[in-house]
Amino acid sequence: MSLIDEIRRRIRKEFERMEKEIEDMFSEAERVFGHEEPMWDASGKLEPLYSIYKAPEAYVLRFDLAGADLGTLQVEARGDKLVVSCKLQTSIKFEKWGTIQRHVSFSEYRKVIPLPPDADPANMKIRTHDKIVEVIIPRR
Amino acid sequence: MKRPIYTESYDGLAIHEYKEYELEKPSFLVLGLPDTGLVGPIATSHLVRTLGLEEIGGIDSDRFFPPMIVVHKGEPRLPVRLFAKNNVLAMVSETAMSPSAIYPLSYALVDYASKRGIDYIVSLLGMAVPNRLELKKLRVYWIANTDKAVELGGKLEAERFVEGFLVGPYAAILKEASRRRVNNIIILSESFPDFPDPEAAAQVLQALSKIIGAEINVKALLDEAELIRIKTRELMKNTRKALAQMQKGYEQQIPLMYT
Repeated sequence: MSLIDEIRRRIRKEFERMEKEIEDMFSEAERVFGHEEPMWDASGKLEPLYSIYKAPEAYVLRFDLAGADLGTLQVEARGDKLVVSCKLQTSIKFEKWGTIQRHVSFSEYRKVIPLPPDADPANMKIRTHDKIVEVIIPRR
Repeated sequence: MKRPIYTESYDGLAIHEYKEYELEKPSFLVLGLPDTGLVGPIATSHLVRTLGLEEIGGIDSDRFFPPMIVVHKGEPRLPVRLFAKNNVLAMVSETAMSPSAIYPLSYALVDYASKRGIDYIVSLLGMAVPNRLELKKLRVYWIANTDKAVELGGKLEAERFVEGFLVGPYAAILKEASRRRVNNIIILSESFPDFPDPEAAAQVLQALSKIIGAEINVKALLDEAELIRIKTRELMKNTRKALAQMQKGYEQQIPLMYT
């Protein structure tokens, strides 16, 4: 191995070490702070689980709206954000629960998601299956 | 909190037993670790409830788990608990596992199973399929690491998983089980990649019932599926983060099939 190869190897190794250190730092921050945001609020709103896939022609967003009354589903683009809301079929009540330890009930899903700049929500399509809502937003 | 009568200590992990228990033969350790679709925790929780398994222990760690207890019916408990009855020992985790916990936990679980004379470790999980929305009937697959486990897999009335990657806690457990010559069978159902999937949990339980010799009624699980999906959102969210750190995306990669 030449001297140049050896220097390259050492630089690469050092970059890998730094990369891992940064990753670990973010992981630790995520571990410490990331789990603290609850997926509900005391006013009765639940945050749904959702996923986003970037396809060549469109963004595909899926929301798990278990227990929702899909007749009340609203999916709206407001500026550069997508707002999804839907009432639950029946309110979900917890008596003495979690950090509240008081009666709390949830009656609605609500989620606001920032849209990527190339999203074209004017032509979005929505389909539902078993309380999973799929929103397909074409890319410009 | 129940006081242990016996503790098996590992490097940074402890498996506590609250009471003496003996398992009938052949014995099964059924694992419910959070992974794709939360199939493991949902299925094992239902198994515990339906077959009336008794809480006999728990797993704790001062190094790999957050400083956490979970309170149920006023009683503080460990978030990773062990239940037993007849020939089944079940592990249910109510918390996502950090990547740093996976190998120590795998070592501890396989060692404990070996010391307790468990015949088979059974791992229950979901297999992420992108077109899950379109699937009406979910397929079940199995992976086995020994001749005995392969023989057991043949009784599942499911398909053998032939090619592909498996990433996450169950991969680490299978590797450790193979090293220790402990039988390990993984039962996978097609499931949502990102959402809790009680229907997939019902599928793996129906397969499991064919090998443990006990009927597992999944009607209540399917009836309560939407409520389970609501209640497990946070666990799913945290599990997704942990799995992403474990490079779960490799499962979508086509393996080199020529060697």
